[in-house]
Amino acid sequence: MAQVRDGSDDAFRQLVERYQRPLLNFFARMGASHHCEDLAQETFVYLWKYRHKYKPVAKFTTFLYTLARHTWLDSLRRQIRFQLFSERYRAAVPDSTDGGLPRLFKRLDIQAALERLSPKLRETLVLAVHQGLAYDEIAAILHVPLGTVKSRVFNALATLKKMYDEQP
Amino acid sequence: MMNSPDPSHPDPLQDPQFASLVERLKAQEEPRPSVDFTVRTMAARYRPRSLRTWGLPAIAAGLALLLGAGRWIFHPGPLQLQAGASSPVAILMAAQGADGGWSADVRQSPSRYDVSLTALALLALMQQDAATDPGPEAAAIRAGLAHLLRQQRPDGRFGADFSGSAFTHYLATMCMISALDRVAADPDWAAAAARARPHLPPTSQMTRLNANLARPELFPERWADAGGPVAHAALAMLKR
Repeated sequence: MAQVRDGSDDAFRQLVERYQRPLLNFFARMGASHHCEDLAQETFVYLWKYRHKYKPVAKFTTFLYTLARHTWLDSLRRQIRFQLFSERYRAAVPDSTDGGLPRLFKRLDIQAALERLSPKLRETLVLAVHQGLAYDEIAAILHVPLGTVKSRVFNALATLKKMYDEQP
Repeated sequence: MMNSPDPSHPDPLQDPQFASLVERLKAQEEPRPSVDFTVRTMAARYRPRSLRTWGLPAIAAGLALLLGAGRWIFHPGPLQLQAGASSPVAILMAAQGADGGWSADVRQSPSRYDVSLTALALLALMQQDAATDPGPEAAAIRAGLAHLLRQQRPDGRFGADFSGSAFTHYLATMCMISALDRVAADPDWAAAAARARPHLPPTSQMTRLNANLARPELFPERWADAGGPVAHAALAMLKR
């Protein structure tokens, strides 16, 4: 990262190659399956743009996932308006769907269940399970105490388990 | 990397009651990046972030250049209005045709994108006008909705058959459904929405359409071709 800070193209290319899959997975698990690649690319562009702000005392992944999280939140804000349309559409015209939603709830897919978690629980669980980050690093990324991270992970797992237990 | 256990807080990931759940989560298939992901990302560092960051006047000017400057120069009807407009609302109001619709063609000749552009402009104006309904844009909205009604085919579909017809139909139907919330909603709007319902795309496609619509900067060429400054003005309003 020090070389990236100095503007090295080769070093940046190595970072992109090393972290593209984890970032894609992060965005996909957060629910951006249709545009996870765009968000990953956006994160790398932010990384380049803000490379001078990286302090060597912090872990690189903390810096990277902080940027990824901002990218995700920004994308959520952009989509809110159209999510409202989508919910409205489902409520207004339930007979017009292809049965996708009822099928989803009958056969609860793990990704669908993940997407039903609140954003706070989901991001904490994804960082812990899918990205394999240590709790203290997650605490630094989310700016919350270590105990909060653990309780969010516990609550996320308990909620998911409840969804499966209640499944007919 | 393992999560380090803390004596004061048991590690939930190691809790036996969640073992199979954690296993299922970890077993989720990872998406694979495109083969050219690295190359595109390297290049993206030096690309402008998105059209919307340039500001609307710059967008209008840039699109005018991109979309065949000659044509715009020789047919300076709606573009002159748009260039003089100071806000997205003003751009939309100035660009509305005499028939109540919005045209993707600068010469106002019919285009297959007109129905979706009209619906998009109406959705934006209805959002703008909702707080003060009936506000200053109310007349323009009613004229636009009347125009949209005239574009509905006997079977209930909106717009012509082409590759973007699902998107067109979705936008027009959402427009009719949104219009039902307005003061003095016209019964014809409800009837049109009811006739349109059976032709709405499946939920999975809806999700994709929403994702595309929420990120227009990902296909600026398509939007530029389809709707030009009117589309960008409407999207800028909808994103607020």
